[in-house]
Amino acid sequence: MCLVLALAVTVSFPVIAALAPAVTRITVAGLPLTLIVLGFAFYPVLLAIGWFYNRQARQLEARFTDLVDPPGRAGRPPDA
Amino acid sequence: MPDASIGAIAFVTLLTIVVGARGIRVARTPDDFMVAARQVPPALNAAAISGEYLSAASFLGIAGLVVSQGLGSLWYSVGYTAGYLVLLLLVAAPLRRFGAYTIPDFAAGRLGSRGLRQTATVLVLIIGTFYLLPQMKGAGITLQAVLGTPYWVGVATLGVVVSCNIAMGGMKGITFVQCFQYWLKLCAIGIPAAVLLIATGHDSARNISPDQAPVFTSATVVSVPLATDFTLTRPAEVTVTGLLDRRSLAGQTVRLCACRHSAGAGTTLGFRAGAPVPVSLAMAPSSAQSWDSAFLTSGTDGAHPLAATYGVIVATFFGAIGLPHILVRFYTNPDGEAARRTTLIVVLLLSTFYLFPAMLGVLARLHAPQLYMSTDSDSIVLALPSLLLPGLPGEMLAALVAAGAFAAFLSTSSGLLVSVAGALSHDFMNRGVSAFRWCAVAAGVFATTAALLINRFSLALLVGWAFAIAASSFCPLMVLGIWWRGLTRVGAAAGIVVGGGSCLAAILATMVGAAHGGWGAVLLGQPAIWTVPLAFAVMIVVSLATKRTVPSNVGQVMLRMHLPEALSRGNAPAYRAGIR
Repeated sequence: MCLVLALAVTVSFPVIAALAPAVTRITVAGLPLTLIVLGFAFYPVLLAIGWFYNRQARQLEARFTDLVDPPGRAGRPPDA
Repeated sequence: MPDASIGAIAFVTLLTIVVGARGIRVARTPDDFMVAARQVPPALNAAAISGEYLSAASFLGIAGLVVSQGLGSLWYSVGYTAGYLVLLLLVAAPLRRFGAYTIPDFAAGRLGSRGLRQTATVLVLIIGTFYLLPQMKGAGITLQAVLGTPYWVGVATLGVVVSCNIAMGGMKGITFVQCFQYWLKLCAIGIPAAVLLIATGHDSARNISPDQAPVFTSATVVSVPLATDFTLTRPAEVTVTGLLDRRSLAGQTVRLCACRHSAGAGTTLGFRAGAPVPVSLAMAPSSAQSWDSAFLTSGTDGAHPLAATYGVIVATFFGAIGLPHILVRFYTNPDGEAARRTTLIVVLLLSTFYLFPAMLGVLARLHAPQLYMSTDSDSIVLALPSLLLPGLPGEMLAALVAAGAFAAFLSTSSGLLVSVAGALSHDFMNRGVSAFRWCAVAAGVFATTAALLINRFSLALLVGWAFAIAASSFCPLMVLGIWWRGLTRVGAAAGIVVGGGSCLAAILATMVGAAHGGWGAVLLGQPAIWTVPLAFAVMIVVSLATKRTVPSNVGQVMLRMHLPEALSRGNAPAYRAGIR
């Protein structure tokens, strides 16, 4: 799911730029949009996706562990 | 003038040799990493990965391409970072749980085949060599810019230093050194970028606006170091001393037409404020698209920019998974969860670093348009500080940049050479220490020689090609190996050979100049767009055709890769025995 989101975000920008060249003419505070998107804005998005994925994966693995091997059962320390 | 730079380069080189000499053990043996495992916290490990990863392309190549080809070149820095996000999503945790140190290890452990292992080793050698070449080129042009030595001197210097250092047993997987290298590189590019930004302000936004050919914002004298052909977009009055268009002039002012001119070595051209910036033919973008376009044109003669952009996106996003010198670091994570945390921190560290090449590229475009007369876009970052900030501060910054660049070549090429020599000696020769040393020297000599031939390709393009080969061979192997039970050894080998082979063939064809413009240039110059899907398809189809040979232990291996440590801790010794 995160992979799809990540690919969708990155893959869409060139398509937008190709279909509507006017988009790349936009300037924000004197800087072209292309610079803002490719130079700065992509990185927080990548980080957010990674952070979200890590949280989901951790929760999923914890739930799975509890399901297979409930805490407090013999042979498994409750803190694991 | 270059004294400070020489000192800084010598210091970095010496530091690397001394630190390397202290670790007198050879090769990355599994045991070294077993010791490091469970002790390396994610933040330190992430800095080490980033330190080894940030190479000549990141340090010099991207900013240079931004100046010469336009903002679309920033796709390289986005892709180099996003590669780690894809690595995080697809392979980080299962790979750590599997416990392989190298990609051939993974291939052999997952599918249990010696032939497949050797196929993978050959690919490691090819990718490693492709990645080594730009590092050598970077060293060549850095010494050229700082000392004025011929190109081959820098190439040979790096080749000798790195080969000897590794042959003598230095530069094994010292996490702390690579970690230090990251912070050195960040400072060496971040401090100059910040200082130059403050020093120059942003008053001349004109050169950045769409569809404007760059102009001189103040009267500027441009000196031409080597004989260069250049073009002007508008006629201009220029004060010329030296040889221009086969005429010898001594300070006369002449009116030059908006056409092609040739300047001799040592000629100086004085331009007035508002005059158009001359663009050397070596630097001119090959297509007419504007500088602020979101597309990338490098390596494809400017044809079909959208397809070329997707070619680079596919190569860089999926290439990081298959790089031979990065994977081994994931084993120093204590567990799968830590591997995921480490990867996320790598994304953060790389994001921080890549803000600065973009900044330097834009600054160069704004304030130092005379750089368009340089013959190689990759030396722009080195020349920028002293152009924008004359005097001692500029020299200090230039020294810092040169030192950071050399740190980049040293750390990346050391990591690569260790991987290449390790693979070579482990799989094709007797596994002794002397075999490893000879392999290191041989690989170093080969890369040095080859680097003398590839001077005309930009650094980012060359590194992008290494990513393309990795993405079309190892990426399908890792992704399918981790997520699909049906993969067979025949299928994996076929996918690696067809994908990696066709990608390599396309790149070699581009290098010898087989395609000029049109779809041919795009499909050969940025081949990942078709070779990656091809490799996946071949791997899946052949695996389905050879269904009977699915390894019998596939369930067990899958369980090991995907089961959280909390559940598998008790079985650890049993599955370790299965790998080696």
